[in-house]
Amino acid sequence: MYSFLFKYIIIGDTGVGKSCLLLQFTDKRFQPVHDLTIGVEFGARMITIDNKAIKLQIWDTAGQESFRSITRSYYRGSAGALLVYDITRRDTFNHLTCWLKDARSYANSNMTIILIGNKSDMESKRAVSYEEGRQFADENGLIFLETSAKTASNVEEAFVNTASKIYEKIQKGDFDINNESFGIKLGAPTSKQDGTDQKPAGGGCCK
Amino acid sequence: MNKNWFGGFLNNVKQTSGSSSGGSGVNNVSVEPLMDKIQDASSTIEVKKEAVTQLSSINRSCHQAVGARMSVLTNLLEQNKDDIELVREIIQILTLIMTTLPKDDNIIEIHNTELFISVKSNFVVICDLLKVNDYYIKYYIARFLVILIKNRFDAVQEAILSCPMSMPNIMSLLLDKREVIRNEALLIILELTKSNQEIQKIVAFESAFEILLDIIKREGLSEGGVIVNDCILVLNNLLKGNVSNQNFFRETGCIQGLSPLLEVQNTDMWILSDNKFNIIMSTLDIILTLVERNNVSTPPNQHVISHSGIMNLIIRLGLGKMSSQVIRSKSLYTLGEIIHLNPENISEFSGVTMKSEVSKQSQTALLRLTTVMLYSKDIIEKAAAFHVFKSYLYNNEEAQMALASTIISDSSNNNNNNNNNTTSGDSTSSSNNTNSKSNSPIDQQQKLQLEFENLSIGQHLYKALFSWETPIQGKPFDISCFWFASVVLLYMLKDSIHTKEQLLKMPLEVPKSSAEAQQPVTLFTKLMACLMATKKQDIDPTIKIGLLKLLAVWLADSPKSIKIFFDGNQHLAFLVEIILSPLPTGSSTVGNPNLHSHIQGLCTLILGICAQYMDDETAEKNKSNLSSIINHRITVNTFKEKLDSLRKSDSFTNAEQGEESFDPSSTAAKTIILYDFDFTMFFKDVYDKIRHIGTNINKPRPGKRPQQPTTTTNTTQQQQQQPPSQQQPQQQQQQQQSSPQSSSPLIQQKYDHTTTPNNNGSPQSPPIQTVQQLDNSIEFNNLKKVNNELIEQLTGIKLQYQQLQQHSNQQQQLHQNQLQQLQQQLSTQVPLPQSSSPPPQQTTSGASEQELLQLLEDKDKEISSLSDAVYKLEDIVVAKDDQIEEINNIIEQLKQQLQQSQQQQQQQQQQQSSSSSSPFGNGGNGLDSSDYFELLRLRQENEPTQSRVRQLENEVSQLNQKIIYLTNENQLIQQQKEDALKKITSSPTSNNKNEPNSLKLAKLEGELSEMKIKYESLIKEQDEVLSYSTKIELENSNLKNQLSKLQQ
Repeated sequence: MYSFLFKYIIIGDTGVGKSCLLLQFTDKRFQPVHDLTIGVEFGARMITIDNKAIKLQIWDTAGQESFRSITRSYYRGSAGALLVYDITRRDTFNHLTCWLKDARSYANSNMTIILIGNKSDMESKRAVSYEEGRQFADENGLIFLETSAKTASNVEEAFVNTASKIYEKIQKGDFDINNESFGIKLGAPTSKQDGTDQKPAGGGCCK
Repeated sequence: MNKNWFGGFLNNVKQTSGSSSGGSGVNNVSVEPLMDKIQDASSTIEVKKEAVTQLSSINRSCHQAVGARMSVLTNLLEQNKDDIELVREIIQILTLIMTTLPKDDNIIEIHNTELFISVKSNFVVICDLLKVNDYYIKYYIARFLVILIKNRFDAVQEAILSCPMSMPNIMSLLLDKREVIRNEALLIILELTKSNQEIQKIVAFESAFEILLDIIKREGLSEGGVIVNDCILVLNNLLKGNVSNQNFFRETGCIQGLSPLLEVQNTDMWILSDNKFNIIMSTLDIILTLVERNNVSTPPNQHVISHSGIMNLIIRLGLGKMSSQVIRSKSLYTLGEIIHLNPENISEFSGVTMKSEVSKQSQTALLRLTTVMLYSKDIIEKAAAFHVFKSYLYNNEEAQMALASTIISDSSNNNNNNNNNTTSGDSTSSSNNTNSKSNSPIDQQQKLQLEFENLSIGQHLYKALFSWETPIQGKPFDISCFWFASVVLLYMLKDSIHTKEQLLKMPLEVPKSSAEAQQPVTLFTKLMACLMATKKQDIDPTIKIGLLKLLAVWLADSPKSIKIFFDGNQHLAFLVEIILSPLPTGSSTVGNPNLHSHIQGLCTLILGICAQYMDDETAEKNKSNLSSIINHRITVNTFKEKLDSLRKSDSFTNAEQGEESFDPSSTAAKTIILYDFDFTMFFKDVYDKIRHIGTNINKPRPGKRPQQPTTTTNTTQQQQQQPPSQQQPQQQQQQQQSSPQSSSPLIQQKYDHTTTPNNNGSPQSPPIQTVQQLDNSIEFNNLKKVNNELIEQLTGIKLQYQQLQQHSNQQQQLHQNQLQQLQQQLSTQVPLPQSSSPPPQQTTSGASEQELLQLLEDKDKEISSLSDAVYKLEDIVVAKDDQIEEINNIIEQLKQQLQQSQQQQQQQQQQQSSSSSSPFGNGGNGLDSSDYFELLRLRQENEPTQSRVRQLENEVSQLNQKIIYLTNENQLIQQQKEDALKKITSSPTSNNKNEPNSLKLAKLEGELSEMKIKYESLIKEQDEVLSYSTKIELENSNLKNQLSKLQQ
């Protein structure tokens, strides 16, 4: 079914568009009014990198401070993290160090983090320049992209680029593939097949 | 201070109890020095370890003392994580001081638990230690966690959520190769995931689904033991109500992983191990969790469940030969939820076939479901099968119509076997039974069974629905069989007008003759006949409730059905009779007396439905009848009371709570449940619509004169009962204004009409009679008597009616005269400005309003014409004044002329005298004679002027007279004008003066029409009675024939 399975986590302040990014990526739609995320929500999609099917399992976390301790439980088992801020709200950018500190302390050191400046469609209200974002990413060794969950600009790239980076690391042998605590799983084409093919209807128990 | 006191007190208690249990090892006295040793920084680790080892053999009496200085131990633990021996011992001590005993109050142990958890780092240390790869440490910590959870569940959940690394470490225990540790971990996770969604999500994030399914597989799937069941229980915990986890579960293909758990071998059909039973039941619970109603992830879950073949497995569990009735029932219930509101799964299900046990032919699962529902020995299984049926029919008109089309009488089948049947018009099954004696019993049984197998779903339902009519000897009647047939039919019809109309047209049997073809027996007519027959038979009231519920749903929103309902003469009377019958008290003959209130409530509901949904045509024919029945015979109060008593009944309020879940252990599951959630919704919907039924039916019908208040006779009665209607003010007004001598006797008479039929034992619904001849004849006589009474009443009414007519004619004439007079008066009156007449009582509505409006219009016209006249009169006055002035001028001129002429005369006379004196005085005689002639001439000349003067004087006097006359006239006109003005300003009173008469008239007319309606309905009643009596005569003769046959 898939060659690799990567677990992602999306983090960042409340209201920066984390759930919208996920929805745009999994369902290819935008929902301007979104309920506040409680705890975490799950989403999944298959992508292809280097001709290999890769399943992404994504946990979208609540940005609110009160959920912070809960969401920390998800760092360790994730292979990738999308750290999102809102380019129209300076404070969400200022909080990035705080988020990054959390991620560094709870996640495994090999976690791939991408910095995402969301809401790039609202250029007129921009409060954080592209360069600033770029600089922060460079300083902290993060991938960087500006996206718009509304127009879908760069959304696909954000998820795929992260997966490429993780894939690259796997190729380099940075991970112990058999240890699932890295958030990476090797697909097993021979197993996991038995559940799907069923005996045909009819016959069965009634004779 | 407080704590010390508390601790000391507890300590004392523990000491006494501890001594009795014979404390070996370290006692309370030696705990403190040991603790001191451990705490002392100067002590070497060996000394400390020694002390810890000694502590580990403490008895129960020391729990408090150790707990009070717990931090000493936890600090030591934190500082020496790598010392496996020490860690093991400290964990054991901690476990010891928190272990509760079943018989104890365990205050100290629980307090110790709280102390431990309240220090956040303790939990972190413990969870960190799980990483240590030592069997005993892992095992002890796992057990310790179980105890913590047991003692302080909420606090542990919180601690886990605030400690990010705890859950991954606990989850890692699940992957431990050593089963003991893994099994402990399962227990921990089973407890932790019970209620907290966030923990559930974290556990799922830590790959719990995959791990658990893997354990299940390794344990041997459904052949596995309690571990497999524990895994299933954890899975259910993780999924229950957790949309995110359900998505995750589905996305990762885990639903498919459940299907092996539902597979059974042939041997399992007969003997199912307890473990396997539990595994199947728990797996069905997971499926139920996945298809929970009102959950966004249910539709995709349903899709996967169907496509992965799990639905098919469940169908076979539910309808196959599985020996466990509980599993069969639960599987059916689950199936109902899997197909609920899912068209794809419904069509998938309806396409499933299975082999019949008798005929070895394949039959549809639906047919099998029908037979299970009707003939299973277990009511829980029946209810579960019905649950599937309901989901199958719910919101699925296609299925509803398809099922409806299979409903035909099963008699056609029997006719092949029994030709005798056709001669007796009775139902077939009883005679079928008697004839079977001739054949060999085994053959017959097989044949019957085969025949039974060949019945369609509709035939089964038909049979079950009407089997109680003809009880078969030796075979006890199964009420639940009837009941489930009736509710399936109910849901077959509910919300589907097309199905209702289809069934109205569809004959139950293939018509044998053209006469039958013209009036075929349809399910509806059969149902009604059946319902009517219930009053003769002493039957289970549940049957009545079932039939009435069915009827209510059938009639709702279906004017065509209501029309046919009213085509049956006695149907309405039947319902009314039930509603008005007193509640049986104490030792009632049949069943539960409480059920009677349900029957009454349902009958009332049906009346309400008829009033609400009937079309205009039916309404024209029956509505006055129906409304008068509801208003007068039943009364609106009783009408509502009956509905409310049903609505407030326990059966109803229980059903209101929501859709019932599958719980075979509940006592309610063992009985027939009268209402389900959907029916309560239906009831409440209708209830809201018919709440104002008393006022609704008083609305003037189309085609009737609007100014006539229809069916508003017993105003006083209605005023008490009705919510304020629009017509009331008018009625009151009418009553106030109508003269007492004309209104009160009329109303009195009408009361007589409405009450007499009741006093006479309601002629529409004659007393219940038995089938016996004698009773029939008595009945007939009774009917005749009643009929005669009715006829007498009718003639009385006719007389009264005639009188009334005369009376009203007289009144009418009188009023018309009065009116004419008034109008004449008005027309002679002098008119006035419009504004001075405000429209009186504009608030009055309906008929009177229009009447008043017309009056007003008339008045307005009158006023405008009057004011025109005023203007004309004023013109006339002005003209007259002008004339008078002119005349005065003329008089002045004439007077001047007169004066002039008089002056001339005087001058002439003076000339005469002077001329005569001069000849007489101056000249002598000669002058005198000429003067004299001159005088004569002058006199002659003067004479016409003098006569002219006289003429003019006459003229003047005439003119003067004329002036006086005209001024008089003027005054008169002015007076008239003033009068008219007065009249107009006081016109409200003049209007009112006019009104009572016209209103009286209208009222009389209304009363007249009311009498007419009454008379018509009475005639109808009479006709009904007559037709009923002829029917009874027919029955009588039939019975006679049968008797004579039997005698022969």
